[in-house]
Amino acid sequence: MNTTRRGLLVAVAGGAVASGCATIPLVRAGAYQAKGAAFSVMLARPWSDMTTTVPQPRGVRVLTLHGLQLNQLYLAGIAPGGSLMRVADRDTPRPTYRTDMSEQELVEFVIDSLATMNFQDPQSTGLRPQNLAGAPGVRFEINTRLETGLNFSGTALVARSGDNLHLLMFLAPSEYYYGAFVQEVDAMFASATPA
Amino acid sequence: MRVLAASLLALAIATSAAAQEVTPAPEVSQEAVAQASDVAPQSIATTPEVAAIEPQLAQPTVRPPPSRARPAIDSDEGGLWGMSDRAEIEARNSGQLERDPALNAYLYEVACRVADDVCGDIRLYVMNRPYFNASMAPNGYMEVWSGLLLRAEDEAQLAFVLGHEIEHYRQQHSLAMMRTVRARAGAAAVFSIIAAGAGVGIVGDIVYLGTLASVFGFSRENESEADQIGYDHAVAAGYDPHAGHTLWSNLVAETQVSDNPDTRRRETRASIFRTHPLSADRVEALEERAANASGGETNRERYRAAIRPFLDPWLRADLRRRDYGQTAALLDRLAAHGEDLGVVEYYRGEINRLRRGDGDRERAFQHYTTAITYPDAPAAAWRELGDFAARDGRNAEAVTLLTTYLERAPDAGDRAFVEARIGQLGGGQ
Repeated sequence: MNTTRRGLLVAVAGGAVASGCATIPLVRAGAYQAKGAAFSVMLARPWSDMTTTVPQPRGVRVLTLHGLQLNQLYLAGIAPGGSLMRVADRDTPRPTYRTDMSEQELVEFVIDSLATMNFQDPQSTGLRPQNLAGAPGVRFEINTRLETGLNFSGTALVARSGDNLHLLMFLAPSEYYYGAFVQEVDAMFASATPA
Repeated sequence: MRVLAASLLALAIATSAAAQEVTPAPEVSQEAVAQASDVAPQSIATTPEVAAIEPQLAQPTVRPPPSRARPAIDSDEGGLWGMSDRAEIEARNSGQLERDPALNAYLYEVACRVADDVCGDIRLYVMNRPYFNASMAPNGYMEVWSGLLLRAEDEAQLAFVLGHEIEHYRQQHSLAMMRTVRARAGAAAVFSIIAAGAGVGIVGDIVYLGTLASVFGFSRENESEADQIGYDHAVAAGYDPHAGHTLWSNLVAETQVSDNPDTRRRETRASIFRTHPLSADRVEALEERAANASGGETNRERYRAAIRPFLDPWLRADLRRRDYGQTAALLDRLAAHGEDLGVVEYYRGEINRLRRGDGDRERAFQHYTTAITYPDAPAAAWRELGDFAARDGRNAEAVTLLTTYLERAPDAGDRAFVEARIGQLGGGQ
């Protein structure tokens, strides 16, 4: 490597550091256990882990295939008192998980969290019993919109494991992106096993 | 960056004077639907830029001519209109836009009644946002938020707020604000950069805050002016002269019972930054003005009829803010005339269910129980009572209540889940 080339690499690296670039880890296809979650799922393809780019609360990880505007996969293990999203300051109220929530309240916790994330008028449909990694839970679909008016669809599975709440949730624009990946996501949900 | 943020913030404040909560930069949607049947037929007054991409939305078929021509594009005012056009286009496509024709028609009618000579300029958009706010941009696009509509008790209070916003528009406060910000921000920006370069970030913060304070001080005068002249227009249109100070008093009271310390501190913070006149000052000034006035319409029942179809979704959105103190105060005002008590009692129950403080479970049960005695109770009240019964081991009663829930909400999104639960409770046998 000649001096000029080395200098160029140093300059690029230095520029990246100076501009505060964060790396986006790649999650390989195969078994994946999200940090904080006591379950693992089988990923059919590699995903990008956006958790460091868009800071999340403890126990919540967000993956994407093509960018968060096009698909979001949440994998979470939320402790009592924890929440699904981070808010600006400690005084701002946010939905929090409680161990005494009913199944419908678990769904409400997810839906209200989406509303707090500025998804518009999120609604749950198709609630039905489904296991998550062997634990009895609730599966449901989500209809909502971005503030810009883009329709989003989603599917989620929540279940209690001990005192914690386990969650899998996939969100994507209703047009094309949701339908293109929902079968793969469905298989992923079904693949969840205790870690 | 900070100075830019200050400029944008100041512009937002200039055009959203009535804001009592989080108020993003002005946006508006083109949804003015009303039929001003007593005015001369005219083409719809929208800007060419906005009309060029206008989707098929309901619009007034007749309306008065616009009161002002579009400014030259190379003027600062033309630039402000261009910004407003872009905001309006975003609002028009927003997922928060409420498109109900009847509601839009009604609000446009009220706005026109107080707008008088600028009625033809208004393009009104209702936005589903659970905060108290309205705004009118320099190009005539007006936003009214659902949180405001929930909190106004009658048409006169709504008319007062709209008159206030229209007065900002009529007096071109946004333009004056922009010129002030531009003049002050330049010097502040230079000093801020110098301070940051010297490694004394806190000094930059102080400059930034100082810039905000000077800008917001200017806004304070605009706010008082808009209050007073807005009052004159509302009263001249035949509305109750006490509507303005009653509305502000209600908002002050609601702020004081907020669960959020940040919201309760808002008045103190406002006095520091002078973003708005203290609400108490504004209440006092309007009260004084109305002291010897009498008469005027409130049109309370008409107003309530217009917003009634939206009470359930708007209250749900309000509850999602998790500010139970404010929502409880709002529900008390909604119940003041003994109307919509099924919905009101259900949401009182919801507050207690979600809050889970001492005695809340018992109170939630009582509110749900009361709610189902009224014909307008949401079906979910039966589901909640069914859940209470199931948790308490009253399985047969739980089955009856959950079955009633499904009968009243045949398209319930949780039908399969509730049916499964009924089966578990022995109701499927």
